[in-house]
Amino acid sequence: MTAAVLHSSPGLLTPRGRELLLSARLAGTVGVMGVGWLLVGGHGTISMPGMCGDAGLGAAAEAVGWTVRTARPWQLVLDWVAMLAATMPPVVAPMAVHVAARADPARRARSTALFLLGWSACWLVVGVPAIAGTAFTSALLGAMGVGWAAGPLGCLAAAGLRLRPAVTRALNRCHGTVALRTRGSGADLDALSFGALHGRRCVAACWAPMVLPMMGGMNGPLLAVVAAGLWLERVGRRPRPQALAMLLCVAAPTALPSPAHAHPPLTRSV
Amino acid sequence: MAVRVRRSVWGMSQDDPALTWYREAVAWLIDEDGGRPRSWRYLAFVHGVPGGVAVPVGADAFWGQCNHQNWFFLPWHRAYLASFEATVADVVERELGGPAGWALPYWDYTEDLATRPEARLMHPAFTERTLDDGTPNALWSRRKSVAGGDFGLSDRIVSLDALTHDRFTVPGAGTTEGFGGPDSMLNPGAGNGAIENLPHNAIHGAIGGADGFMSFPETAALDPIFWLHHANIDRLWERWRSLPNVGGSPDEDRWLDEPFALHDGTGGEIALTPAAVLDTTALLHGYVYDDTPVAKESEGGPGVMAIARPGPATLAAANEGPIELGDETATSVGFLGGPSLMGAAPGGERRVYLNLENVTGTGMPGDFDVLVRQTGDLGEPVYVGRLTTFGLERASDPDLGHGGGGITQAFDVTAIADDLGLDEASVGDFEVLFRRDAPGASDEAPGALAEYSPVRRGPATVRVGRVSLFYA
Repeated sequence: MTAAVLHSSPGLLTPRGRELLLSARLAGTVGVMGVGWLLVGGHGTISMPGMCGDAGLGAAAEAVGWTVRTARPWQLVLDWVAMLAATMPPVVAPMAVHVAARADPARRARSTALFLLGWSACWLVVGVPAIAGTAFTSALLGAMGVGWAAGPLGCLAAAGLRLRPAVTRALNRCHGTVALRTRGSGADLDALSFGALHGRRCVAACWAPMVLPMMGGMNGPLLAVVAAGLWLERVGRRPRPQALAMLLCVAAPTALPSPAHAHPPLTRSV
Repeated sequence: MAVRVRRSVWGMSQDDPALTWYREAVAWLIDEDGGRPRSWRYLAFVHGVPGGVAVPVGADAFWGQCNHQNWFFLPWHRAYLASFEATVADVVERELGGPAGWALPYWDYTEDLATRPEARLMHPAFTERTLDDGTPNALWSRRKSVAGGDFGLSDRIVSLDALTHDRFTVPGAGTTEGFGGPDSMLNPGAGNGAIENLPHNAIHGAIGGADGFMSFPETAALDPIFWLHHANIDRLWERWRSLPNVGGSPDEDRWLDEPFALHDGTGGEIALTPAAVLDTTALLHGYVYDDTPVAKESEGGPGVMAIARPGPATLAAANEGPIELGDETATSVGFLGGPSLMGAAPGGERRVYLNLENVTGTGMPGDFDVLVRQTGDLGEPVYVGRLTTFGLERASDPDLGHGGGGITQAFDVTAIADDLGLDEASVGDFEVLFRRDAPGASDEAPGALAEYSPVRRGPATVRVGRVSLFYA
């Protein structure tokens, strides 16, 4: 039933059909987020080392060693996908709906999927190396004996980067649409390339608050704060990145390791 | 104190106190430092900031706020006008020693020519470069170069078709945007509300010409006629709200409670919301229009008169891809196949919308008449509406609020589609034409404001991303 509704033309739907379509979209968005949060909460603890090693010449080598030993690519991808699924659906959904509404009804699902593919590819290309870099930085801080500060420092760094004028410009660009061709391979290409364009704009606007606050390890409540901040920025009349910067500053102490995890494991628990 | 009464400028002689005090206040404000809220530059830059002007510390929350192609267009400009009116009144009373309670006049270019033959001409108080004593006229500005205040305001430019829209905003892609403009929540492919497109945008372009202040949001408010033009748009909003069978104002909190950072008459900071501007008699000093009753929305507040919303529209036909517009350009749309509402019986609930999607451009290319015809039809094509380009360059800049997506304009062509018998078989012969109404050259700017003259970086261009037909 749901699939049939999704592939139908909204203009031909009954009011009940429109309600079902909206419900299906909402359920899809919430469902993806739910899976993301399950992964973040139940599985996705990137164990940023925060270790108490010897500071000095050996710190960098130790950090590189830890990163290579611990940060396996599939784990990074999994954690990154979980973070995206947990935070980004409300941000990207309106543009996906826009693509669907402007597409040929017969290829609506295909165009939307291609758009999301292009968008996701951008985040993966940037996000996985970024999260690896974050893990390395965390390991480095741990090797220097200040691993406990990784989380708060990540928050403050993200807050500082949020105040750059370039972020405001990038947030504006996230509102931009392009005309999509309607037929043939041109339609597919346009949907895919618009997804990639929107993805690049999203990455430019949001990579720092997505990645840096997690330097102290995956932190569900902090990620929720980031997600809420990004959503508020997206719906605002004018971009107000200062608000998220302030939120990150306020939330920075919550990124301190709890006493029970003062010496977090050097390897990831799976 | 009684609320102020905004009067029609064409009911005033050149030496009417409302105009003479306005002229003196403008001259006084122009002489003030632009960093002060009570200065001509500051007041104008709240609307838009000309290129090359640095925003001083503390002004970034106030400058460059103009809301276009979204549902704050009307309430934001109403709040902005009230702030301006309070400022001018304060200058008149406290700095110039004039009377209290100055009220902003309005220019009703839509008035019936049978009763007001001069309605579409600019009032002579604004068209003379110098006064009788040879001193500069502060109400004169950089506009299209014309004689006798005749800016060629045609029936199509001063159209009041916007008043036929029964909803303030219409959700969903593919349909017209309603009277007031689209919900700006996520703003993809934003379009003009009906009143913003005509007469608002068209008047801007007609007065500004190719390079005049009025042609660009960044400089428009530097022209003293800007404020009388917007007072008329504000008056038309009040008139629309008083009509029977219209949907009333949006009732969403994110419309009602959106704060606009402005200044009161003394330069103090204030925040006004759409909810706070709905009753004009309670907005700052309070005002009414001399010919328009104060609108009374039904008890219970905004939105209670809201009428049923239409469902989303579905794409049925589109052209092949982007087109660059010249003086006259034509494009054909093709049926996409599959089930559609095209063949539905005329007179039913089906609506047909012509969409001009992601229109982008540079400079002030002038406006375009949009017409349709069946290929091979040698008769005069049917007029659909006007594609206006005020704000187009700004909407095309990826670093600004529209993200470079430009403007998407939709026209309801249901009656035309029915007349043409448009269906799956014949839509392939459906041709859309664009006829440019070229902007005229502009005069030079007044000396004190010359540095803000728009810079022409190249020939003006317009590109329509896609032409399509949506059915609902």
